[in-house]
Amino acid sequence: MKIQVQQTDLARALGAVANVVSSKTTLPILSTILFEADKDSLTLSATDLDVSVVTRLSEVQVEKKGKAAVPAAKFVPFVRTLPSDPVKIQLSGEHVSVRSGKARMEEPCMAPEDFPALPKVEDAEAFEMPGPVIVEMIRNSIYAISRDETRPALQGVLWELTPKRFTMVATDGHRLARVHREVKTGVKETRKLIASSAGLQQVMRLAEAVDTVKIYLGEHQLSFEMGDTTVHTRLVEGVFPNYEQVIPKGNERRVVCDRETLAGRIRRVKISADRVTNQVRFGLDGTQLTLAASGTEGSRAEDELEVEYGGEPILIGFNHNYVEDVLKHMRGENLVIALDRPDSAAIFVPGEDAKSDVLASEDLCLLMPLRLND
Amino acid sequence: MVCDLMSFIWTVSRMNLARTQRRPIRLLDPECVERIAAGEVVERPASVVKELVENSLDAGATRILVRLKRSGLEELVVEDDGAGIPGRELPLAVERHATSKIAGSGDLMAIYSYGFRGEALAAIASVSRMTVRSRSANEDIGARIDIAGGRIEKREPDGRHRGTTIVVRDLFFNTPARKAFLRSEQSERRAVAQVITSMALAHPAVAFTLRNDDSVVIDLSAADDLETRAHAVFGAAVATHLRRFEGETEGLRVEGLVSLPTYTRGNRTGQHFLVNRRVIHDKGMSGAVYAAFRDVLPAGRFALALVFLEVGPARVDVNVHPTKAEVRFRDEGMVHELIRHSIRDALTLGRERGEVAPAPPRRGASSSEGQGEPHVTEADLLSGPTEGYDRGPAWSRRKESPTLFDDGQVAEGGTFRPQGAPVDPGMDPGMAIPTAAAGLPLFWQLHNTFILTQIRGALVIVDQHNSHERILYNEGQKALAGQAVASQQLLFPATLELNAAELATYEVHQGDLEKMAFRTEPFGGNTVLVRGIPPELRNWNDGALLRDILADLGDAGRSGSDPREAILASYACHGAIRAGEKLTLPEMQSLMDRLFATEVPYSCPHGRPTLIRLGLSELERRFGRR
Ligand SMILES: Nc1ncnc2c1ncn2[C@@H]1O[C@H](COP(=O)(O)OP(=O)(O)OP(=O)(O)O)[C@@H](O)[C@H]1O
Ligand SMILES: [Mg+2]
Repeated sequence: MKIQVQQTDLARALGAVANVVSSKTTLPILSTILFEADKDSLTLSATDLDVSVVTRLSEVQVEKKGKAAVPAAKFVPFVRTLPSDPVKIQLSGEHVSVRSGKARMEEPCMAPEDFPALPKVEDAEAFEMPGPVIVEMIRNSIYAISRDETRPALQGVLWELTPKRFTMVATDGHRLARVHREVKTGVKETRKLIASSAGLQQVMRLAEAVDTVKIYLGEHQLSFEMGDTTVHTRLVEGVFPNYEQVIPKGNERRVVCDRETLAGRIRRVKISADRVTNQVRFGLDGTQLTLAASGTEGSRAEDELEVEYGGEPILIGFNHNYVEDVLKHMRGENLVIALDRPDSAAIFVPGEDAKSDVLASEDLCLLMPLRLND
Repeated sequence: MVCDLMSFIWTVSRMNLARTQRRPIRLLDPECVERIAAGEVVERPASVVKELVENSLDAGATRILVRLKRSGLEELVVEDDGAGIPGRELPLAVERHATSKIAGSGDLMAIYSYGFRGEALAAIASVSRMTVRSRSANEDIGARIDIAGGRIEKREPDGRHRGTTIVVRDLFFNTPARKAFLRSEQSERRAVAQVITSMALAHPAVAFTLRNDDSVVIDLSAADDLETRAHAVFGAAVATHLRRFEGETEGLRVEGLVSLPTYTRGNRTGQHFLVNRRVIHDKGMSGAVYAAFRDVLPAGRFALALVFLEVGPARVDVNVHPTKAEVRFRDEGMVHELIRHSIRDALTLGRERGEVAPAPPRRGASSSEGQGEPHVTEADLLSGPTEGYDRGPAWSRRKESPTLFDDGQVAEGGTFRPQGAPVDPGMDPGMAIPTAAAGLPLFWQLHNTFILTQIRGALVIVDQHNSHERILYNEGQKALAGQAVASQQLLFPATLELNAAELATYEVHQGDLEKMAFRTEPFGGNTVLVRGIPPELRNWNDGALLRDILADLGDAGRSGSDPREAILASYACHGAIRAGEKLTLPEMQSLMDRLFATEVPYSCPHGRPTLIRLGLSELERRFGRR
């Protein structure tokens, strides 16, 4: 293998794949990036066996075709520091060398045959959507996934696709985020699958700057084609709980408040919160929302904000970390909180209309309260 | 206050007895003799040493030297610089029932001295060859008598300085039956050393030396306080594990030192009990120490404990046993509770205690200072993150020593802050990840099992499972005691199908489970619905955890153990973070905070340690720097 490529192109391509290369692995081949030089293109691949990223560079002069599995740990940082000039890469024997001007580096390679076979894009149902939209959908749902390793299904994000709608749901059993967008998905009938969060994380990272992402809904894997780069990720096995059933229909106590103001008040009051429960109590009375926290060491804090509220007074406690997560992932200036009882789920949606149909909102979050024994 | 006065009076009377108002030695009247517990005074060399050293202390000695030949079996000498015995009284001193310490049976009600029977010298003299050499303060020349088997053989002047020397040779030479009961030289020597250690701890101001043949077994110079003496007795390495305790109720005062669960022994040799400075063996007192450590130490391990109880002489009867090794308290239950509570309080690290309000943290003062001062840095973990809530060991309280707060290890809100973590006033204590100036995290998870962090003068290694277990146990305990706990409501309530036994157990314990934030309700048939669980409970595993708890509870019920204890232990064990679970920095921070907010952070409920402290001095030693 002998090629020449612009440093900026190479660095960008390496950046796309290097993220899934693991440095601590029992399989040393997984710490390499597979280089494949073909007629007039260079393909770089990396995988951790669950998620694979493949990127193709066409602005490249191939003098001699070939393959090499290049350990990433030193190669990638070295290339990043090179000036934006042409870079020459050559494989001689077991070593790969990089050269730019007088700068030169040599690394021993591994046998390319040992590199795991990468998944191909399956011939499957596929649809396209704008990069920023899928990034937003992932970002606004993935925060609610579970960390419980005994429940892999909850560590992933549920996808529900109908011909015209794309829904993502994540939950850890204490809270649930549901995001949907009107997207022509091309599916013939409703499909449900669980996407791995590791894969989605790569998509979030790579799709932001991409106009169109093409998504292939394979039998066992998802593939995301983003320009020259493709991410493959396995589907998560398991059963996702019936989330629709837990979204309450009757939460009629509606609060409208300013998102930033609420976030600021919580940041202040939570300083006194109990370190175990992280509880902050929301007390609604008239147009006053009182936030209060108290810790086991006798510390107490309180603050208030003006809100729009027409219901009966109510006192309800939440883990402030959960509320803060919700506030971080809501769009818009205002949000509507729909409550029922101090021990039943609260609904958070963006918006300023107390009477709006919260259940239809594109972004919705359910929070289960922390109930104080009495 | 009452008690201080009492101990003051006690000390003064003993001094008076020895120095100014020494009464002549007189024979006690038969009626009084009747009332003194009779029996064997001398059992072995250690009991001889005990009697003689007590006499020296009664005489106000400041230096006591004990010399043994073959562990005292051949010869045993006790030498002091006390008040001495006037020459003319010497023969009387070795008579039975002759004492200078009490005048009649009225004094038996309130004994301030060790001696009161006038029995010891006579008893020792009757079973050995004894020489007494003494000179009292206002005599120009001393005197000496030699006695064998109780008969005075020689009496002559002696050129001794002020003080008394008693030589005991050929113990039991005339009573072979008793001689047969003596143990090996080694065990007799150990027994003598134990007696002297106890006495030395009770009298820090007195210098003690114990020699056996040609070796020095104990050599303690006069010390200012108990801590200094304890240092000298146990060595600096053990001293870092000691913690002071004290407490009082009407007419009773206890103080002393106990080792934290970080230092234990396989037997009770490290436990010394003294009542009014008298070495005693009291099951009740050692039981109280045991009770204080009950859920902290594994079975078969014992903490060091120096327990000094001061009781108004009228509230304790020391006249119940011929060797005075046992006492009888007027109110045994009160003694037990006082000791247990005081020790427990000292192990407890909580603000609740607050007789002394914690000083406000002084921050940024001195992470550099103090690093090279072993006697301060030895104050270890305990003077580390936790001491902020507490007075700490007395040696860390001394004025010249920087206190805990000097190194800013406890920030507001009780957040545990490893040494070196910058404290940004605007920083949110709950969420902030401590980072060193270099931007490196100050918690480090080792093999997803242990957390490493540094405190002043030491590396601390925390076992994540054991510590979380300790945390859950204590939090559960508070919940059962009625402290309100929040229950995290579940989006997907879990339904548990129970078998008949589980269901029966559930029905009995539903109330306690509810207190611990498990919100459950019977759901018809064998089904139970779980609506809420303790917040941040790990391994909830869709209800499997509750089923495990019910199973453990069932077992406990069958074996008759305390069900609440069983709930707590089971909950803590099943709910705790496992070894192998990866933790984020905020999670590690929160774990440390909560660990040091618990009463006894040093061990899990099964007695396994939660943390190990490796002092810099230890590391330096291992690397050959010292
Ligand atoms: N080391 C000593 N220094 C000064 N006086 C002593 C010393 N040892 C003994 N005596 C005197 O000898 C007396 C007899 O001592 P002995 O130990 O036999 O009796 P005791 O101490 O009065 O009572 P007990 O039998 O309870 O110990 C004492 O009362 C004391 O006056
Ligand atoms: Mg005596």
